[in-house]
Amino acid sequence: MSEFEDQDDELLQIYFEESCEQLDGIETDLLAIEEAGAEIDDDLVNKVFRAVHSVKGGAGFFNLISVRELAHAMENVLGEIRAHEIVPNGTIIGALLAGADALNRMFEGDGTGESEDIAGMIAGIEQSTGAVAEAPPEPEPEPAPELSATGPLRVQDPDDGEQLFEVPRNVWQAVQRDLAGDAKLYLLALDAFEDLNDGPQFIDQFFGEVTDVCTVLATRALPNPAIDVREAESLHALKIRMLVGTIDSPDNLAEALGLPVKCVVSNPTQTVPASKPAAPIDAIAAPEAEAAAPPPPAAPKARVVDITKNKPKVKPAATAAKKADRADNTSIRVRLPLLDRLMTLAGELVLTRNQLVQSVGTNETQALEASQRIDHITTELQDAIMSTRMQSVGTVFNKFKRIVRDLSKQVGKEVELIIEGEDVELDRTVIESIGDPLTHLVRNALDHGLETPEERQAAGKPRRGTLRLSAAHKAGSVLIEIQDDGRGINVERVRAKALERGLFGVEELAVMNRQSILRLIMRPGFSTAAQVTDLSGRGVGMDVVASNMKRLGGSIDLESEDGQGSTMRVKLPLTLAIIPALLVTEQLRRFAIPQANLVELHRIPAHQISERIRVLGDSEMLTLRGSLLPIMRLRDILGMPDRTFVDEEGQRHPDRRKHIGDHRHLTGFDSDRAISQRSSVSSAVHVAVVAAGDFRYGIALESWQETSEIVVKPLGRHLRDSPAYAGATILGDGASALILDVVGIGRQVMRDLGVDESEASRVAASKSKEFRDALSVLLLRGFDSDLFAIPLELVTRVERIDPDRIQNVMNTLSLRYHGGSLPLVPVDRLTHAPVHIDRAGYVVVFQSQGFEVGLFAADLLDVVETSGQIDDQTMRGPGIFGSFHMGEELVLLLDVQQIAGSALNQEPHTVSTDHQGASILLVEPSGFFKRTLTGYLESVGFIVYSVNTPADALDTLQAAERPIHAMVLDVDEDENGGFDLVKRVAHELEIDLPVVITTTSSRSDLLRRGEDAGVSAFAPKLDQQRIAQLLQKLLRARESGRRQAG
Amino acid sequence: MKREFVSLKVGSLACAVDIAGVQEINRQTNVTRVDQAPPYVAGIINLRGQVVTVVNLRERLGLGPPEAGAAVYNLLVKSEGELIGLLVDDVDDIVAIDVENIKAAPPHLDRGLRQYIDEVVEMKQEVVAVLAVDRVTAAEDTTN
Repeated sequence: MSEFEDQDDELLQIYFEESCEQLDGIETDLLAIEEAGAEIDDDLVNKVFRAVHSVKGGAGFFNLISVRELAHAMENVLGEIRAHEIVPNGTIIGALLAGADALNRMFEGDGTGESEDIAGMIAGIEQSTGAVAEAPPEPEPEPAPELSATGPLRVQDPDDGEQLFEVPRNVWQAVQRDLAGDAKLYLLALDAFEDLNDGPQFIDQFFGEVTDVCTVLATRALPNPAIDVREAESLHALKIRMLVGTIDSPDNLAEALGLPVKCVVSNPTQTVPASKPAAPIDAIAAPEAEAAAPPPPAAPKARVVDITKNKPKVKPAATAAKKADRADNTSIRVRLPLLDRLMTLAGELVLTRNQLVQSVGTNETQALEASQRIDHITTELQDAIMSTRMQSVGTVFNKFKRIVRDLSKQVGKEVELIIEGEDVELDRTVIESIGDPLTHLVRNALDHGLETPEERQAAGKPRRGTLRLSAAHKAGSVLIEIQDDGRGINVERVRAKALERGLFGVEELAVMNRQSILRLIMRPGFSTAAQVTDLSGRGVGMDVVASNMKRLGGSIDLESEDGQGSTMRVKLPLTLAIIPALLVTEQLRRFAIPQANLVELHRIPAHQISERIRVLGDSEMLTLRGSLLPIMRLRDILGMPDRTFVDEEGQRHPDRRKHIGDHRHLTGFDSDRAISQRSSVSSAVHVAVVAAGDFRYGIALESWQETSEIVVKPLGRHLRDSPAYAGATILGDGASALILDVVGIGRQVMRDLGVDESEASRVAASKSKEFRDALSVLLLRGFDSDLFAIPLELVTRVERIDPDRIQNVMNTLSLRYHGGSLPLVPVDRLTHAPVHIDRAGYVVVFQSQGFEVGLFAADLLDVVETSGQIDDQTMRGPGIFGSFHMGEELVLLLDVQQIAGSALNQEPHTVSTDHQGASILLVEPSGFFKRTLTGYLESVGFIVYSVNTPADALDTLQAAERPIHAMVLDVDEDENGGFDLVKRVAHELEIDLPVVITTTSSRSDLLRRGEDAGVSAFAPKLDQQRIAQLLQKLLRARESGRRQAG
Repeated sequence: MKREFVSLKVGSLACAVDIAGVQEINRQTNVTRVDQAPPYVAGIINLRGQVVTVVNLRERLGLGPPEAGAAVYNLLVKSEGELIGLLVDDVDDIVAIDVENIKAAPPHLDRGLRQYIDEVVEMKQEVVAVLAVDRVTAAEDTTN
């Protein structure tokens, strides 16, 4: 028996897994059925019915009585809904959902449902149909005591009279109830080799069919003496005996199963009256067995497949292990076409390998070709394997339908849940880890964010609150938003609470902007349960959510408007298994720093070291754009042994340089005798600025190499707990390297600096202003390895594409894209490098004048901030705005407007210059955009004054030193007081000033709010011609208005 | 009934490992060092795409640092579901031993060694310590 146990257990596991999947789906369906009410969607009800039915069928097969009874009760109610006998309502669906939950719990356990109140559950389901239900469809179950007195059913083999089965009586009774009383008991006795229509290889399929058409009570497979013993090892050469219950006639049953009629033995216990099956069977039963509690001994001559046995009870340890497996979700379903593709690629790889092996050393051309093919195949293979791990975020989102339904009832609120972007795919490890944090956020929004219908009505809002869950790809990450239109977070209360908790002083809070204050709720220690009501509870556990997201390499941000609602934005990486990372070197060893943690890289030439690196006590700081950043040497972080060097006499000396800055004056040694290693180190310091949450610090390194996509491998038990490492990876040359844990190291740096986390982030908060002038750019690499940058604000989407989606018509490229076609510009074309459209790459989509244009690049590197030192002279050319340096590399900044213009074949807008001398006030925080637009507007004859902020603009206008004829105002999604400025200009200063808003946001509420404030026109950011045209039009309109008035 | 052992040398100590736990023996010694690791961890290697921790047995058994140029083998054992490499100085042979010739370790063994050795066997007229694989690969010291 033992050799079958595993197989048997496996079957049970498959059943559990499949059942869980079935039940997963029905929750959503049940909610949809409830939604539909009397408009019963027969297909949907049928679907749920079938799911429950198949759960029930399997339960019969495995003798899981509780599961079957519960599923049966659910099936009955669904049957009535299907027959339009009852109308599904909240009570009925609630009972069905509770039933589905109980089933789920049972499948997560051992399937016996020992801890479940099945009877109560069943009663609840039956009663839920209430008065609507007619007479119960099944006969009353017979009273229990009578049943137990009657003993098990026994069935003998028709061939040799051997006892085949002993089935507990209550199992048969349950089957009878199941089949509404008319059940007949049959024994299927067949020879797999002879009697199965399609031959023995379809035995699995046969078992499937049997469970479809009847309820299986017990199954055995016996060796067939007619077949050679060795073959009999295979399942195919077995005699199969199945005890089944069905309401069909023997002929129908045989036909349904494609079996010869002789295989269906009616009344296997010789007399089984349908209504009262028990007694006659007992009469035939062997006399000894009445009290026999243990299962019958296995047939002496036969090996037995005893599938009916309730394994979970027999092998608790094995099941527990499997259970753990299930909890970890170690299995994954892969679509067949994808698997086929993987197989094909693997086959290709093997062929090419063979070719390569043959040709190495003999045929160089062939070897070269083969290695190129291997390159392509492995890239594709990696993509394909990666996509097996991708799952749509809908699997998480759909769970919220239920949570929102239940919770909104519980708290007495009316909520409409809107789900968007459920097809967005994420790595399953990410999917699995975001469930809990998102649940937390949704609960918060429901519980504390949204008001009660009465409160909403009083506030002039619709009674029904809206909760929007959306997911979208953005710049290589996934952005998940949880948005409610509830009461929002009261910033003043947060501020007061922060003060009360002593997290910040009055002065500090006074200079913090709204956003920074809102973010305080995500800080550990900010929230306790006592503050739930004070702060609309938004703080509860938010720090946990935030740190969970951080652990996943993501981030969370929030936005809230008092009385208008809140939005939580979660940004997550697409995958955790493969990440882009920068490879760095320290003492000849290589390490990887995840790109997600990397902010910027600085190479500090030798002559700048003394001024840029300051020693403050024990720690060293890097001056960076006017502020100080703690830096630490990687070798100190990791406690690498001190560097030693060998002088000319062969003496080994320790390197006495204590600080990075020290080595430039070789104290204690004659500089002439210092060996080359030292002098090479002394030439420059490399600092990688990294971010661990809010805390930024620098890691000083010997050098860095390239960025590459690395596969994250877990560390073994000896190293797993080390705070400095996040894992390991295998480099291109086969060596292994460690991945640095920037967050873990950050804690160490903070400890060494003697700052606690709150202080560190305070430093970060006060510095955040300084980054305002920096331009965030997305770095792209062309296939020719040139580096390009595009302002991040302009990017609408980023996608990885396969070359087969690119169409090439007369050298004009386009991409099949969401059913349409997208003009595609390979970045390499801009540098006149060879254009590769036969490889997979990234498309970066941006918008220009209402059209979308895609840039095609080999790779996306990162988002970095340039400090605005852009050289717009040297490299300027078609499509290239200018250039800047990053580390030692030259980055070309793309002129997207020009690129779009030529890709879309647009005539440049004609801008006349008849507005000579009109003065424009430009309000724009980014130096880059400011210069770009100023340059253009001046070139068409405007006089431009530019300021950074709305406040500065107000000062300029108030001072009234010079006439201003119109204003161009940059507004992003945060708006930052821009509209307020417009209002104040009109009402306080009483200046009638045409205002053109430039923005990258396409949010309709932004437009509406702008119009309310009195904005004259909107233009997309960087669409210079449009801005100029609008200004012209507005100035002309005002001119003629004046003339008319005058 | 016999059990099979791999006989090996760690420094001058002759010892053996039950072959049931041994997955592979190779000479892959390009170990990537891991700073901040326990001293007995030699580092990590790439074993056909899997990152495997390598334990320096000399260090673990308290036998001092290896001599320069010592021949080094990497014995890959499976312990508690994880593959772990053991750096040893030499691998001799595979020997089948009758179970009745496997004896409990004598109590007078060096205290440092005692914790890693439960049994001894006689091989080629020499008493050889059988290393308890689970204990030499245990990670109890990682907190230091």
